[in-house]
Amino acid sequence: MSSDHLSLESLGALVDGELSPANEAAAQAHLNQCHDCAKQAFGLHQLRSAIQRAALCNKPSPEVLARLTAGSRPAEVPRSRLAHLRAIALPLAAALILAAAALGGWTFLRHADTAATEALDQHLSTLSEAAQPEVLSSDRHTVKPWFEGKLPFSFNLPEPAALPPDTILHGADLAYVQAKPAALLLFTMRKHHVSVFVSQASGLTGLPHRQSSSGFQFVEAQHSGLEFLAVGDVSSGELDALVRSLTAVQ
Amino acid sequence: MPTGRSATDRFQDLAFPLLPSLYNHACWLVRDTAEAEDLVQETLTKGLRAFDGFEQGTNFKAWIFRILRNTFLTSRTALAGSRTVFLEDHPDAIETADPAPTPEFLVIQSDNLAAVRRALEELPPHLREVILLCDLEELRYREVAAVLDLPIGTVMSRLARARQAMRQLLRPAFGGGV
Repeated sequence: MSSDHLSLESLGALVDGELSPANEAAAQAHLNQCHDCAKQAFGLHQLRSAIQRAALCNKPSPEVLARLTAGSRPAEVPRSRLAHLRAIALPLAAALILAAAALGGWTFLRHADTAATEALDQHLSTLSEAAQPEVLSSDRHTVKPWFEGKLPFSFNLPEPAALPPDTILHGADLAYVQAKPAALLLFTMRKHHVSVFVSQASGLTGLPHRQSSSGFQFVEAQHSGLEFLAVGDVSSGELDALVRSLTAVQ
Repeated sequence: MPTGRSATDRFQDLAFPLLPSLYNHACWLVRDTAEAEDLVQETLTKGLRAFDGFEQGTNFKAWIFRILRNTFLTSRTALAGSRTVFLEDHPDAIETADPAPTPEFLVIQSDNLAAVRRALEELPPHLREVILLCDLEELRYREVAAVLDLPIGTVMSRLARARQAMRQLLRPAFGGGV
């Protein structure tokens, strides 16, 4: 293509209506003089039109639409002051996950593990220094009532003395795992951060009782209609002890 | 807030009309309808949670498509493919052929749309998504740049390469006169 012709970028911008008025006028003047460029512009216009018709080929069925609209109506979404902080924390989590994948450690993400993926994603978000839980309290009599009216279920929290050694409840927040509302309980165990997601048991997560990935342990348990999913970088035995202290008081 | 409507209601007012577009785009990203539904569902959940951070008056469609794409990038499908080329430009891959095929072959009949669809399927993912966002979703260049987290100049050059690649892929389907 001669340097006198418009570039494909310029022709595309013309077809897309992205040129400034002055550049558009100049491009149109060129097309009036240049048959080749006029043909190219016409072809791009046709290609755009063809793509519009051809690419709209995945229409959601009424059933899919119904599930999508129903699934986005949780009991209530927290109007959390953390929303904008999460905007910072989530890309950080994404970067960490991508880094883990690049290191070749990401082998556990198979068919049934989206719950673990989501849990790890949100757990990593809580590790950001900018992240602050909605409820900053180690008092179970503060944390538990905060969830009333926010979750479609209730659960109990153990006395501090009933928690495993060196384990402290630091706060709580609302979360969503597998599009289900969940209580996110934030603990430290020997200075290691641990997140526990409490939701209504659905049997849908398909998680084994214990698994590990990229240095993180996951422990899942169901009790009294509730599902507990703990994630952290402590040992699975320690996570198991924490989960058992929670299930014991339900 | 100017109205008494909840954030959830306002989010749904903006998001629900876009569900067919989000689902269609998700299908192109993951190439699996069940995964696409999961991806859109997760996008809605994250969008709802982040709605406080949405800047009123800006393009909601670009905002929610960005969430869709970022959600996809952290999904197992994208992670499985991340060792390849998704985030990178590979200009050498498609600029070796004749840069100026005549465009008459693009007088496309409806029964030839399948060929266009196949060409889209063969397009490298990073070229396919830019052409879908621009041509199908009709986002402005600056909005595509925001969705893809790229400079506008890169969007323009990537779009030009995507279109050139589409022409090359379609040429065999529409005869040798191109």
